[in-house]
Amino acid sequence: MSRFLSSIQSEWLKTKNSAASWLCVIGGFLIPLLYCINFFRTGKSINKEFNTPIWQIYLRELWMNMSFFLLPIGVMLAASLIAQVEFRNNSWKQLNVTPQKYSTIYGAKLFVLLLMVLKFFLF
Amino acid sequence: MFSIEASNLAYRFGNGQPVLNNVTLQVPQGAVYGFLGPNGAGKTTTLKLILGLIRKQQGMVKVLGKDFSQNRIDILNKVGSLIESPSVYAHLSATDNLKVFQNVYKVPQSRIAAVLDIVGLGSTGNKKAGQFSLGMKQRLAIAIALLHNPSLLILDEPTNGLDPNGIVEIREILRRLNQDQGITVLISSHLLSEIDKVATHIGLIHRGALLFEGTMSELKAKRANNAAVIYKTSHTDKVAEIFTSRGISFEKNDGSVKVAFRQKEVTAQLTRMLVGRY
Repeated sequence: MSRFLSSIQSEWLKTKNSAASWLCVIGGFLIPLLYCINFFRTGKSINKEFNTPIWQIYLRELWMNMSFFLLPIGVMLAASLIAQVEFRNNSWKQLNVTPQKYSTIYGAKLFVLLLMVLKFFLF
Repeated sequence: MFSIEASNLAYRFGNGQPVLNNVTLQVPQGAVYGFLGPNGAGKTTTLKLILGLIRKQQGMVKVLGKDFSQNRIDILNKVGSLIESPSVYAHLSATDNLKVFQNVYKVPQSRIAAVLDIVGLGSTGNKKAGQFSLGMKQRLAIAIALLHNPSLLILDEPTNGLDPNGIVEIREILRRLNQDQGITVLISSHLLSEIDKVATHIGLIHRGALLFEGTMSELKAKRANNAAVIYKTSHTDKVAEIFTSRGISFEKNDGSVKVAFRQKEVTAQLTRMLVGRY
């Protein structure tokens, strides 16, 4: 277990300085930003209607768009980023001679991917 | 006791030509083993097979006295390696690069500064590894290999891309590690002159077959046995006649006569003898 944790730690370190954080920030802001632009362009909004749970409607609508379109793409980008870090630097071989099971290596990568998705949601 | 025992290794990519043919390799403990061969002879393939980076097709590999496939994690814990091009994360600094591996190997943080000092990268600070020169990347990769105090080091062409000064430095580092800490070192190279200066044992590989394996002095003795003196002359028959009459074995070719080399004095004597006849 502690091996798995340290493996995750090292995988997380690898995403430092890479495009990963930007991916999460931009990905998280994209849909609300599009809505905002739409609002400024058309001036239409549901805010004028009284007695409606505005934020709930917004949340539902945004979430629909995000889960449908943005999340899968975000996950795909993040996954390819993680794999690409190893390929670009020729470091699969160095990783595979570290004393870890293959399942630990790939498990840690998957976990980091999930962490990135979590980060994505937080924004 | 052997640090690495590989027997009857054979390998082919796809259905193509075999890259390795029954290579049997024995690296004694405490040795600096030089693995020599021209480009494409199968050096890297052999080392990758030993480390389990490519699937073994035939043969057996024992590292540090244990079968590799059954004790993979135990063995890798004690082996430091650098295969082919340096593998460093270009978007991380030297320290962060080492931290990635420090986490995995579970060695104290202080080792990072120690190995950076050993390879002479102590002052790079926050510079990203992507901005390093090839020589510096190579040094960083050597630092990664040394990070966890391995008892066996496998380095594939470690001095590639280093300046002459760096080559001497790395050579000194390897010699020191070997003598002071008893670390077994396996280095591959295509330059005899480079291996010649550190190695105690030599393995020669050519076109996927191991041609020679033994100590440095054995190789030198063998080389001396194969040395020959070639006399170029227009009177080959006459020279042959003289040698036959003296009971010297020789090999007659068109325009030259070949005699095994023994000592300088003997060669001088023979030459005098031949010249004296005319």
